[in-house]
Amino acid sequence: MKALALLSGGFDSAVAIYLMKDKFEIIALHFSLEPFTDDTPEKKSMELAKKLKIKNLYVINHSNEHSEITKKCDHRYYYIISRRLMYQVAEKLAKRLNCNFILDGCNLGQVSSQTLSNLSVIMHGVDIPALHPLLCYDKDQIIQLARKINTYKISEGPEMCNVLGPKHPATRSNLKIIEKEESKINVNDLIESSLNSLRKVL
Amino acid sequence: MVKVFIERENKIVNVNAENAKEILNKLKINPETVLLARNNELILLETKLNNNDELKLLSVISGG
Repeated sequence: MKALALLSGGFDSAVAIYLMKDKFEIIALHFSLEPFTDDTPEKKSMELAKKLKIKNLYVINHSNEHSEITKKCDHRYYYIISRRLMYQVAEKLAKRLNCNFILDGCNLGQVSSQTLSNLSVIMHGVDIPALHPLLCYDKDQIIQLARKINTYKISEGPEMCNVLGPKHPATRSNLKIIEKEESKINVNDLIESSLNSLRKVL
Repeated sequence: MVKVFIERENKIVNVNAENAKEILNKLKINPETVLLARNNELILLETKLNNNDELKLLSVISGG
């Protein structure tokens, strides 16, 4: 069995992979936002992958897709729309690589955007099972584990995906509203352009 | 003077700066953590800003 793990470079995704890595062959995927951010997150992901003994790491550049979402969609839904797109891209890649699951470091309640309601909208339409081994972990537990498995120092610094998520995003996202926002962009084209930027870096 | 909306804190501040990098320095915001949108267009840290520009700092969403 294989799982495609989303690896941001922060604490959560590394710990999630650690918890599951003996159960599956893990292939990691990092979404890069260069040039709108620097290359630190990608470097962290590479270092984490090596630390976790992951043999395959892919990088997708998602900067143009984020740019399109920022330009055309209501910024209140930016978090949800961006994540929905990432999961749809991950689903396509997972199938291409014969992965049975998507694995991520998602957990509830760290920030207001991480609610079951949002998670349900984000995962809607993703046609492959997603595993969230940290779903009910709190931040202290995750940090403790990160220290124990020696990923803390690599992940240290600003978190990419969770802690710095929007502080006041839509927290009871309604699928219809999100789909209406998504009609302003061409989701299929964005999925395709994302996949066209795929690089294997490890 | 550039009007800066900090999404995470839901607040607006005015900053005198030539580019976004200078603004982030002044606000002590790590450039790893935000995307910069001017008039709904994402811009680079080094992009030159004009007087009265409105800049929005969006939190990075990068999966994981």
